[in-house]
Amino acid sequence: MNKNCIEILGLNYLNIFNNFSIAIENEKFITVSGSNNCGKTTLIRIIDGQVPINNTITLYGRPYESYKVTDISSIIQTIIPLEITAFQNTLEDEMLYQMNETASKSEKNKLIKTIAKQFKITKLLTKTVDNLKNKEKIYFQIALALIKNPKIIVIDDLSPYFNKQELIMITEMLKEYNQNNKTTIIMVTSLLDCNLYSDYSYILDQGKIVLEGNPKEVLERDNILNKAGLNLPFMIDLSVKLKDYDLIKNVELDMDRLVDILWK
Amino acid sequence: MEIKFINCEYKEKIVSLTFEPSKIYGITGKNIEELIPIISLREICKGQIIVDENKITKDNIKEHQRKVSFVTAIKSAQINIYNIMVEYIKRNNLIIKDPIKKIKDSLKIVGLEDNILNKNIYETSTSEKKLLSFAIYLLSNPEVLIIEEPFKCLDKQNEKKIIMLLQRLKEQFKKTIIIISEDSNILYKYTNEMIFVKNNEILITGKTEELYLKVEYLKKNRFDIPEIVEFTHLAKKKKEVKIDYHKDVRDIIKDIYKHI
Repeated sequence: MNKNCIEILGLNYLNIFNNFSIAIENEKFITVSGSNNCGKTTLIRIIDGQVPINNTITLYGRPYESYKVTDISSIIQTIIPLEITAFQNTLEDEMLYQMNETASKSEKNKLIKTIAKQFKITKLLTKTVDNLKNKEKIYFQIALALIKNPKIIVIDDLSPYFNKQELIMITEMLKEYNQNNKTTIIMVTSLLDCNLYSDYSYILDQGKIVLEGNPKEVLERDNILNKAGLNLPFMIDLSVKLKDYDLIKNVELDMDRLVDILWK
Repeated sequence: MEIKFINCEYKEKIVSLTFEPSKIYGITGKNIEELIPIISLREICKGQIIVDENKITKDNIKEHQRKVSFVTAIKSAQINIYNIMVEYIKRNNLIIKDPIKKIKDSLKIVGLEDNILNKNIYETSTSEKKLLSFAIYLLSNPEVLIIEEPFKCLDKQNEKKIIMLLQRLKEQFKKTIIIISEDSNILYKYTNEMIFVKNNEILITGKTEELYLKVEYLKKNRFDIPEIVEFTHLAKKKKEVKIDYHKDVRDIIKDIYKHI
């Protein structure tokens, strides 16, 4: 089995990517962040196969062009906020319709209930998409993607639609799903706090990967992140600066602990 | 322009609010979008509304409405930016002697080049769209600008651009800016006055720097606390440290250094 599910090698695309390469490790939770116009959304559309690129991308070791479009869409579920077809079915019917045919009806209903509860759409199951508010539509988009049980889930930036607490809650739920189901998740986010929940983090600037690796270590590189125009999470920003003044040894994410370390 | 809402009825509650010129206000809370039609003078509520000592009535509200703009994302049937701006002038029956000059002046205020007029809306970046929406609403020369989540999804550089624009509108053009946001860090950093709304009721209003220090009270009422305030509050409470409340991380570091 391949270690990487998606590999891009030497991608050239418009003025955005020039000899761009990335390898997404299988079953990991990946975050991709960067300043405005750094190429995050374009990267998602390329991974999703919406932008046809030849000879540079492989999915589980095979070139994209060797797959049928329907094969790619059954392997990769992409969530672009609010890009959803306004079908006439209720949410529950649509979820049932999209599920694996081999599962029994009771199994399907149980799974729908679990995911609906997780994403707070239980009360909405009898509604149609037209009757949902924007946030509800996005929760439903995520639930629908999960219910299809794909190998890879790709999510574009949800930050325009949710507040910080909601974004962190969604990230936590996706992390849990990734751990329980071994689904690879690639999440684009402009809120760097979300990166801390991932296994591996990429920072893009002007179409190039300027940082990658363990999220906590990536976020400690304040000079590069500032240069890329990104806002550091408060605790990271404070800790890194305290470290520069030799007031603490390690970056602390817990406020209580940091206060205890500073004033023993 | 000063707007006073005296004993106005909002969601079966009585509200009194004052918005003064040259100030940045913040409003936070749940379902505050329902307050927008009232503060933007689009809805007349029971009670008294006074604009610069003139009482607002059904007869004169139209002339005052133009002075308050709710800056939203650009919605237009046009795609070319010049056409979008011209359409705004026509739709709002704005009487402008030299519309092209006015359009260029509006762009200049927000820091956009004239050549953006030749572009189509889908060719612009997120920050350009935000700046452009300011330029469009400035065409009607409003005294009060209401903006929802102005910094959302902007990187540091673009956040700086917008805040510089807001400061300029406040100081140089004496505008009243009202920011509606859920982000306590942004509100604490950039506003002068705060309005906290809970259950359709104005819970508390006052100076931002004073209100956000009421940490326990705000927490009890389920409002987010700016992280820099929360950290300072925790250090003071837990360790009785004499550090001050700051808005910038660099300032708190200096204070911590002194008190260790």
